[in-house]
Formats: sequence, structure tokens, C-alpha cells
Amino acid sequence: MFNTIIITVKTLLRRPSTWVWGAVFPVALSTMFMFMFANLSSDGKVDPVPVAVVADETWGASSFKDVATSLAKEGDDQLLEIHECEDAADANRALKAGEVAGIYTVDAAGTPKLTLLSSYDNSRASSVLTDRSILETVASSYTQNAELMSQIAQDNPAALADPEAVARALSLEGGTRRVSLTRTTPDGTVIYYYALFGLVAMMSAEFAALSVVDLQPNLSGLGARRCVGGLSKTASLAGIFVGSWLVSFASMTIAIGYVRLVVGVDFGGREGLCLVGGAASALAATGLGLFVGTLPVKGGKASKSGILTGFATTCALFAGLYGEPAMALADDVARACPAECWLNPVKLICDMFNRLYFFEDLGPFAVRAGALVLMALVFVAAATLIFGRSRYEHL
Amino acid sequence: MTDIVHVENLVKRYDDLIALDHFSLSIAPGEIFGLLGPNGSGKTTSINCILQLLAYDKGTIELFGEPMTPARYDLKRRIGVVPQQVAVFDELTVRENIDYFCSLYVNDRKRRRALVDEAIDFVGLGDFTKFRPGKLSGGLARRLNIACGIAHKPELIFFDEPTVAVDPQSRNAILEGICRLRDEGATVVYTSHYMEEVEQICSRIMIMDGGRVLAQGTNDELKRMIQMGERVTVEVGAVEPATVERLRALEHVLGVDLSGGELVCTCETSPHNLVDILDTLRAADVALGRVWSEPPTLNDVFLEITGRELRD
Repeated sequence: MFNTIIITVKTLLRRPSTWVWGAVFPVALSTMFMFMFANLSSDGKVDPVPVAVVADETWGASSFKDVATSLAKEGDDQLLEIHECEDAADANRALKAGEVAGIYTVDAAGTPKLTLLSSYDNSRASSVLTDRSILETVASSYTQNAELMSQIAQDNPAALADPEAVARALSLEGGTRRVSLTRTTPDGTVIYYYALFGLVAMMSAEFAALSVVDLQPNLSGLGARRCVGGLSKTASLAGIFVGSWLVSFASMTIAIGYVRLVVGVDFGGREGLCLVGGAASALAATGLGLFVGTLPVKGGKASKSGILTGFATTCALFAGLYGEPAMALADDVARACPAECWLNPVKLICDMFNRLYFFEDLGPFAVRAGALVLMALVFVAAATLIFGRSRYEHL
Repeated sequence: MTDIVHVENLVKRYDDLIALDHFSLSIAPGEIFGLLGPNGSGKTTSINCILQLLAYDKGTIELFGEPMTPARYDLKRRIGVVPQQVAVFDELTVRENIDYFCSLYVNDRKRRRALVDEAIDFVGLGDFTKFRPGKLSGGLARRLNIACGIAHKPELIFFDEPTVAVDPQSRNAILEGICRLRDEGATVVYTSHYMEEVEQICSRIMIMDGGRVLAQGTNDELKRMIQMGERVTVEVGAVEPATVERLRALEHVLGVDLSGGELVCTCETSPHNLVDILDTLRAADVALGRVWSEPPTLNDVFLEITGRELRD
């Protein structure tokens, strides 16, 4: 059996298709995702919003100027980029020229006013509306806080003596406390990489399927020759399973390694457990490949390869791999039929990695890894049964 | 002595087609047993049934005196198979292929290494051990196919048409190799539709057609089973149809065929065939060229039994 393992690994590694599906495919898809999500990340990041202010005496004396200036301080959380103008005409010119998103002015009572253009370029609607929203929020927050302070001064002047209480009241968080339910900050893009791991694993099911075809007398002369040899069918099947699993696991390791080291996806310091997940995923995929490989379908390698590719890509659809609409569909299906999360191997693999990344508790990860191992056992048992009982009417 | 192969009343049907019709076979140790028949006669089917690759409808199969079943790996370990098509891994080298097939029978690596070396020498692939099958010529690939089947030194070896599409030089090397295996103690079952090969190397021959055994025995025994004793061929000039009829009427002449300036007379065994034929031709003033006489071939045996040529 040991020699069958070695031969399975050698033959697989010398087939170009193994390298295409096992190495090139995950690397290419991960790279594609990397570029797609790089744009998505920069879109999500808020660039400072350019705003014009009329630097007259009223502005200089207002406390809103202090607020705006603090929000325009350079750093990761810089919200505004202030353009000081000498007069209103200069500010209006900058606004019309598109150099700024709005104009802040302060009236005699110190209340900020925001001036915006009545029309804007529709092609830039998304960013223009975001900028306007930010400018409105800054102005209205300031107005609300100023109102709050004057209310406190009227109702409980002593409270203003406590600077901490004042700071708390004025802070954006106010009286709420931020609690994180996950061990890392949720990142909407990692789930696509996890779904990709699922697809990569399922595509590697082909390794076992094609190796098993070379063991079937009705599908190849090589299979006939191996079947008349002195090694039992079960031992041959076991050798193919272990050999194919090794190659499949290597493929998963390449995918995980590339996503971690090149794409830079954070696994939250659980890289070792990611490999354990990869091993479980490869096990389920190899079991599936063995099962499909032994199915008595016509067409040999081509039809079995077709079945597996169709299965993997369909499963990937319901794991949400193909973009936001697919992810929404996957969520809808999962809500309507929770069992799908356990029966769809791509979804199961995706969920397993997801839980490893986000949850402190390793239980949900372990349960899903266990489910993949169980899935592999069921497939292997079925394959052994089918293959062991097969006697051929035609060769 | 126990037969190495003993098959009784084997029946194999493909729907309405009877591929093997009460096929029986006994092969003694040390024989090279030839299964001769045209394509589709049931040679490969019978081997596949014996090897338990094919399910069969009826009959019993014993190898080495014990019933053969699909799970009798102890018996399978004593058998070697050289299939009709070159059945090896395209991705492995010559040595790796031989080593793999040998490992199906022999676990010990040291012993296997020696056996693989021996098999490589036996088929003369010493210069090609690192080649993959795709880089080998047809003849060399056939030799690899043989090496994969014999490396573990089996007691019983099935050769299923090993010389199909092989050049004459490689064919001779293969046939010589088979005789050497027999000399080393192996029993060989050799299927072919090339009667010359079977005549050359087989100690006993079975002629099959339509899944049935038509005749079996040694080469001489088979030839004695038929009426024909010799074939007389004469190079002739123009021959009148009346002369051909006179030849056909001769006492021991079974048939006359005239084509391309060659007159072929098939005759029963008789000491005067040649004289009678030449006298008849001279009497008709036929110009004569070379004349020769040959004993019957297995093709003649097949022709007389079935009424058609072996290669039809």
C-alpha cells in the first residue's frame, strides 16, 4: 500500500492538470480577489473632506473653529481638510470649482452654517453625497452638543465643573460602551477568501477521482492490470486515498500560505489551526473524489471530472464566492435551509475558517472540522462499498 | 500432476451474444499453451474470466488446484499478466513502472530492486530506465509491458496478444523471451491470432471461434485432425479450365486454386500427389516453373474446421 501512496503522489505531481488546479488556480483567484478587494478597502476608507471656511473675525472667535480644526488634524482619523478663504466670494468660487465639498460659516451667535451646491456631477454622486453627509454630521453634532451644554448650564451648572463628565457628554460615543462580539474586527472581504478555500479544496477532489479511474478495469487497461495484481482492492483504494489527500492538502497549504503571506489576509495568529482546517477540507474533498471516481458512470475521466467541477462550482455559488449577490443568495439559502450549511462542503469549509477567525471559542471551528472528517468517512465508506462489490460485465 | 489452470464449462453471455460457450481448458505445469483464434473468438474474454476481471454466468475455474475467486489474492500473487494494450503509467519512468507493478506482489524493497533489475535486463531496457513510456518506440513499450508483468517471477503468465503492432525484430525478441520464461519454470498461456507464432512456441494449442473450442492438441495432433496432408504449389503458364477440372478429379486432391500464375492443390496424405499433378499438367502442355510442397499450417486446420480463413 505504501508504494501505491508514493505512486499516486508521483503520478499526480507529474500531471500538468494537478498544478493548474492545485497551485495556479488558487494563486490566480486569490490574486484576483486581492486586487478586487484592494479597491473595495480604499473606497471604504474616508478621505478628508475638503471644506472652505471664511476666515473672518466671527470664524476666528467661534468655538466651532476649534472643533473643525481638531477634526482637520493630520492622522488616521482626519475628517476635514480646511481651506481658509479671505471672503465669501473666494469660498464660493472654490465650491463651484469643485475644490471643496462645502463652505462653513459661523453666524453672530456662533452657530455653524453649511453651504452646498444645489447640483452636482451625477457620475460622482456616491462620493459627493458621502462628503456632504460628513459635513452635515459635523455641523449638526456641534449644534446638538452646544445645545446640550447650554441646557446643562441651565439645569445643573455644577456638572460643568467636572471636566470628565463634560468630555463624556460631548464625546461621539456618549453614554454607550463599545463591546466586541468577535475576537477580531469584522472584515467583509475575508469570507470570500474562505469561500475560495472551499472551492480550492473541492476542485482538488479531482485528484482522487482521476487516480481511482486508473484502478478500474472497465475504464482503463491500467485499471485491469492493477486489479489482477496481488494487492487487494481495499488496500489499493486506501493507497490512492492517502496519496490524493497529501496532494490535496499541499494544494490547500499553497492557497492558505499565499493568502496569508502574499495577499496579507490576517488569520488572527491562528495559522497553525488554519492548516488543520485545510487538512480537514482536503480530507472531505478527497473522500468526495474517491466516491465520484468509483461511481459507475459512463465516460471515464472526462465525465467524472465534469461532475466534480459542476458540483464544486455550484457549491461555491451557495457559499457566496461569486460576489455580493451570490453572498446574499447564500445567506438567504442558509436562513431558509440551515442544513445546507452542513451539507454544502464549500459552505462548511468557509464557515469553519470564518469561525476560526472571528470566534474566541474554538468549539464551532472544531465542530465544523469534525463534520468535514465525518463527510470524508461517509464518502470513503460508500466508495469502498461500490468499488469492492463491482464485478464487470463488459471490459 | 495438478493442472496449473483448470476451467470447466465456462459460459459468458453479453446479452444475446454467447462469448464463451461451455469453454473448458486444462494446462499442465511448464507448458506454453496457445489460444488461437480470430478477433472476437473469445480468447481475451476467457482470460479475463480466469483472472476474475469479468463476471461469468456458469462454470468453474481452478488455478494451482484451488478455486479462483475475485478475493483470492494469494493465487493472484502467483500470476503475471501481460495485457494486449500497453498498460502502464504514462507519468512514471520505465524503472518506476516495473517497480510499482512488482510491488503489487513483492513487499520487500531489497528483493524487489533485484527483481526489477533482472526484469530490465530480461527485456533489454537497460538504456531506457529513466525514460517515460511516451518516449519509447512501440516495440520498447511492449517490452516494458512485458517487464511489468513478469518482474515478480510468476509461476503462471498470461500473454494476451503481446506482439500486435510490433516490428519483426521486437516480435522475435518477445517470443524468445517467452521461451526463456518457460525454461525457467513458468507456465505460459499465450493468445494470438498469428498462427506462425503459436506454431513456433506453443507446446499445445487450442483453436477457438465464436466462444467455442474447435480443436486442441499439439501442433502435429491438430494437423493430423484434418483431411489435408500437403499443399502442392506449381508456377504455371496458361491453364485451360478443363485441365483444372482434371486436377480436381485426381484421387487425393481436395481442392485446386489458380491465381496469379500459381496453381495451389490441397491434397490428402499420399506419396504420389506431386507426380499425379505434374503428369496432368504436362499432358495438357502447360508451361511449368518452380514446384514445391508444404505440410498444412494451423490456418489450414482452422480453414478446414470453420470454412474460413483464420484472419477473416
